[in-house]
Amino acid sequence: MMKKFTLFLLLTAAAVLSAAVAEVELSYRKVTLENRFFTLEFLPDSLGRLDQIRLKPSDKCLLLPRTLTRVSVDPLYGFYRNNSFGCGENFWKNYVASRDGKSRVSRPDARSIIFENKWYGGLAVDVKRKVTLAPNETLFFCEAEVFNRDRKKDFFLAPWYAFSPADADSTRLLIPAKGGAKSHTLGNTKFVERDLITDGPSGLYAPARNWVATVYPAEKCALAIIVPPEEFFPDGAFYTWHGKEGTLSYRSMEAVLNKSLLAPQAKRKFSCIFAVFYGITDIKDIAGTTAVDAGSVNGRLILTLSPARRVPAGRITISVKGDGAEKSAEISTTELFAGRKYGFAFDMQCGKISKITGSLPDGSTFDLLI
Amino acid sequence: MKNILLFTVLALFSLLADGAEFKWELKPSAPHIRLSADGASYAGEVRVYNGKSKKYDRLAGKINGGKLILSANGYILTFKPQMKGGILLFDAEIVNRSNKELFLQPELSFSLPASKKYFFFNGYETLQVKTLPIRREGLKGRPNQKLAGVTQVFPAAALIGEKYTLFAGEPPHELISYHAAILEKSGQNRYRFTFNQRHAVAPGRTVSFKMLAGVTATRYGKEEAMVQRMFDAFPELFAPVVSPDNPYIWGTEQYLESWNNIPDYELERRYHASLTWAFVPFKRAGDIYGEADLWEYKPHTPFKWYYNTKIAGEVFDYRNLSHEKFHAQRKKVFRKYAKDFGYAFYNSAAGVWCENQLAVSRYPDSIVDDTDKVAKYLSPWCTPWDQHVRVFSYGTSFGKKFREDTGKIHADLGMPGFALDCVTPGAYYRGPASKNPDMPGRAWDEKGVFIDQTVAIIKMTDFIHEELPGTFVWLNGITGKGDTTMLEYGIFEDNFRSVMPVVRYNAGMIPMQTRGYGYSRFLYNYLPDWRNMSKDEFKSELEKLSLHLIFNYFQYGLTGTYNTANGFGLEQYIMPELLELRKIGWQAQVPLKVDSEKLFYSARYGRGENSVIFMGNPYETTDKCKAETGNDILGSDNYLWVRKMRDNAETVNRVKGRVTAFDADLLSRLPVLYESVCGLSSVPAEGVRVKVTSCKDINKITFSLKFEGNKEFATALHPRRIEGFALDKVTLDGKAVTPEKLTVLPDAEIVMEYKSENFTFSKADLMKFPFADSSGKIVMEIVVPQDANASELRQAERLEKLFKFLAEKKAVPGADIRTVKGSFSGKAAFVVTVGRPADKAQVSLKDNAWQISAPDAATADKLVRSFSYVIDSRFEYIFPFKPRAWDCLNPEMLNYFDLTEEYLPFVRCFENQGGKTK
Repeated sequence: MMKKFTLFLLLTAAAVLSAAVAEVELSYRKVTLENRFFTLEFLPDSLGRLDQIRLKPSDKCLLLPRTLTRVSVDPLYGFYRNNSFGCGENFWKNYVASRDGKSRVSRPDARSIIFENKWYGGLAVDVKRKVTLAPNETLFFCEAEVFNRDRKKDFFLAPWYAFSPADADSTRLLIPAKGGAKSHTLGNTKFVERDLITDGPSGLYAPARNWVATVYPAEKCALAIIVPPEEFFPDGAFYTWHGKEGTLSYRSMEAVLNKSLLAPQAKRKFSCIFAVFYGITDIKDIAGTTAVDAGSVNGRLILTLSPARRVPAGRITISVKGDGAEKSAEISTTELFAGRKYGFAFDMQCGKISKITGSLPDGSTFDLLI
Repeated sequence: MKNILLFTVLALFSLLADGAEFKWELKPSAPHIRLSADGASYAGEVRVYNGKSKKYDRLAGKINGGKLILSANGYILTFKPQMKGGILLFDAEIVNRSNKELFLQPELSFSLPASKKYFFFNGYETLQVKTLPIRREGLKGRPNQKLAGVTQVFPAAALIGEKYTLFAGEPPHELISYHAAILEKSGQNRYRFTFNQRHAVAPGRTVSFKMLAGVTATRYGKEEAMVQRMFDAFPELFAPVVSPDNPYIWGTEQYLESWNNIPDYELERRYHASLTWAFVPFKRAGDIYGEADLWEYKPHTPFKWYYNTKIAGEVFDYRNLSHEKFHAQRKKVFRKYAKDFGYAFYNSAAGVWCENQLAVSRYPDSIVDDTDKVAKYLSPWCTPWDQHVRVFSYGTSFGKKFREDTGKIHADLGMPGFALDCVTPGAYYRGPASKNPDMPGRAWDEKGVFIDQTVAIIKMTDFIHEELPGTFVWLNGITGKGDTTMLEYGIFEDNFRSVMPVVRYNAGMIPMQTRGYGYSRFLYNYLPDWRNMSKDEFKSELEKLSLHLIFNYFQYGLTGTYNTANGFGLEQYIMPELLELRKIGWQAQVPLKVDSEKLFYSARYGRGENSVIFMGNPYETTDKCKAETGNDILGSDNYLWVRKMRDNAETVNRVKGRVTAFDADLLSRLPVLYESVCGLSSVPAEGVRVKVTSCKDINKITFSLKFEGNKEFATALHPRRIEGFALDKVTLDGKAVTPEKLTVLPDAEIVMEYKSENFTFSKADLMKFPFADSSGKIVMEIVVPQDANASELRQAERLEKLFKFLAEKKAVPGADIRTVKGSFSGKAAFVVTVGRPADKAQVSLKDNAWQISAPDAATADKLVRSFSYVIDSRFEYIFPFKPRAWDCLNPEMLNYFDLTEEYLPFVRCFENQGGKTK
């Protein structure tokens, strides 16, 4: 009998074993697409979300990465926790930013990657997204198709793309907000008196343009979401959310596309462009896929262009409206290449400038928000 | 010097009785207190920080009449020590002899060697001592960012070392507005552990307060030992105030199911429901009675149809409801249902919120202006058309009217309880009443005098108990003396894990329910890919989640929500045991050690010979382990254990010293319970081996203790108390004996026999009784006297509905059951008599009839309800997944997997042979 008692020296107090929740940091599997400007990192286990844009050659990461933690409460109940970052198809009123899911991945060619999900994020839709990155462009093109699996119910479809740029404390958000709009199709909006570029506060904004951008002053570059106008107007909107988690600050830039009711068993296609503009620290409009800025140096108007896609040689036109005069000019240019900045000087003495519009050789136009 | 020495000797107390684990000593000069345990000594100082001079006051000490008396410029501080349980309790007071108001912060402050091995329980959570200081100051909430709501802090803190835990604090429910626990560095290689309170003391006034300190061995957990010492020292403050016989507080709650809908007694009984949160039975917060002169007012936003506009079938649409009709309807609802369904009148939170216009016009002195970490206004809230403002309900004009209204409503409606919402601390009242020098709980900060909301809430719970005796108080949160309490988080929420276990520590042995979200929304996030799962995969996930939930129920003594039971067979099956344990009383310290890593969950209920231990193995495989219980933690005896089953069980115990060892079955993914059957006051030094068996029936329970290879020894035997049973006899080797004095011979056998207080029939009788015809259809009569009284008819109706429910749910092919007046005809029947001469509370089987008799209506209610659960064991019914409430499994998922009429299969883990009677 005594022998049995000695065994108990090995026993452990029960309460110590009923330990606290265990949390283990994990990382997502990644697949990439790259060209000479940057590498795109996608998460095939998180609905194919874009997790990172890594610039070359600096290796600078433009986005806050999606984090993943395995939380084990006990062997019966465990779950994954993420920070909801990463850009995939999210949907207004059908929020799936925090949901993961494994995508079927295919690569039709060296420039493209396709992610397909049935019951996307637990919703009654299938989503197929093709991302294309051309070799000599600083933009990538995203084409998505949503299929409503339901046989009875419509699906409220307002596609929603969101980026959480890195370095929120030093970057600058540029939202071209529409003036005078107190509400919008998607809800109440932040009010601004006139069309202008704003950086917040958090909330919904009626759009004055079809793009939203974040400038990285230290890198002299900007990341933009450009929505084809037909996908964006009249219902589209911008959204931003500013916050802090521990020491990490974040300030999102988000674009919500036109809404529609997707009928049972119906499909809708939509697209969006994501661009990185090099060499600039401000944007006043985006002409097609070229960021446009303007400033005055020694009384001369300097127009700064940063193409994300090649612009053919041709003529650049500009019209300036000031309180003293209204003037137009044009200038010839050689071919403009992506990944570079170009400056053009104009003598336009018009007094205090209130409007600058113009066009580029590829036919795109700009109307700067100043 | 001589004088000081003399006083020191006189003041030396040395007590190790009553469970104290330390000696203590009081001295007139610092260190004033010394607590000594075997090999450890802690020196403590009584200090007073002066909030006006911003310095510690110089104190001159003396010992007089066993009290420590400390004098300072303008006041005298007295600490009168006494041992209470294992705690050194100080009844203290400050006498202000000056002509100015004093802002004082008396402290118990201990200095001890620094060590990174310490843990510090600050009243909210136990933190490893890594970086100092650790400060928990005031009642405004946890300093940590992981705060789930503002949870009341536990009133004691502990520095937890490897061998001993030093603790300091105050008893629960003290009228104290500010207390703090601080661990900080103190010079070279020293730590200072301080517990303090703040008091504003008016000129010439005396403020009384309590502080406590103690040392306990660091065994069986970290802060749990200290919390258990608190439970053991103040059991009455950690238990319901109303009688244990209160028929409402021990059941489950089904939230608004019996409030928004017309209540269904049989349905609620099957969910073990006895409480109903009677939510917002008034038009305007702050006017709970519904005064005629306050009836017409312009709300903040227009009155509208709200989800509780319909109450128990009556419409309370304030767009057009007259004052008279309101009162008539409300009275009708309460008179009809309140007593059967445990209606707890939702008392305008706990007098914490009042409709703003009403407060401004009638009770401006009561408004709480504090907005530091708390909201001043709330809108929308319980009455969505109103703007609410925070008010203080004690010593104010609002408090006076609120108490009058509470009494008036109780007299008018006769409800059995009050529901007190928002019972949280952290709002500081600085209005006119706080200037009243006789108000309790006056504290101070840099802005002046304040009283925490906690004080008003405690006074409100006291008011109900004192002025309306027998009326239960149902708290949402733990502040004040509740009889039952609600935790408004679901098991799967992060917030639940964030506030546990401190919420349970505060609740002590008070029954607690969870009210969180069920599965619906949670599953969409937890299993986002559910549509790509097979039905079996989905059910497997549900089963795991349900087991997690059940383990947590047992771990913390919680009963479930109304929205997680349907379809989950095991959750429904274990409910009787869970309720029984919860009533026995949750305890903080589980004196259990095992040699298995599979014991993830464990809990203890009850003390001494009435203890039950829960073990939970969430892993995929069963494990057999060696278990031992630390009997000195449980009580003064050594305890014998047997697996707690509904039918029978056998467990071999080995007792030596103060430890009982046994082989435990850690069943995979099933709750396992061991119950103590008795305590032995002494056992031979070399130990004893005892085979304990239990045999349970409806009418009888037998525990037998077969000693093996023991020497003769004398002991007192303290049998377990079993609710609903009375100890009939104790035999030793077949001879009736008095258990208080036994001589146990070698290989002796002791048998303890209990008889049911109400049931005289066996399970076999029940199982063979001809309730049904050959087709399985129930064919029964319910016979009541020709001159049947209301209670007899009521019980007859309840029995009828029991069987009609089964027929309706197709658990039986049909039910031909009806009530007849007259005498028993010889057909299978229930014969019901209530309040007739010679009626005693009993159900017996005679001829072909169940004879049900009760001396009065209340006993009849209880008896027939108990008997109904007995009948359930013959006609088991498990609710399928079909939703009970809005947050059960979502119909979309149920339809997708075609689960609506199914339930998860389960193991009848508390019965041998799956519950089949041999």
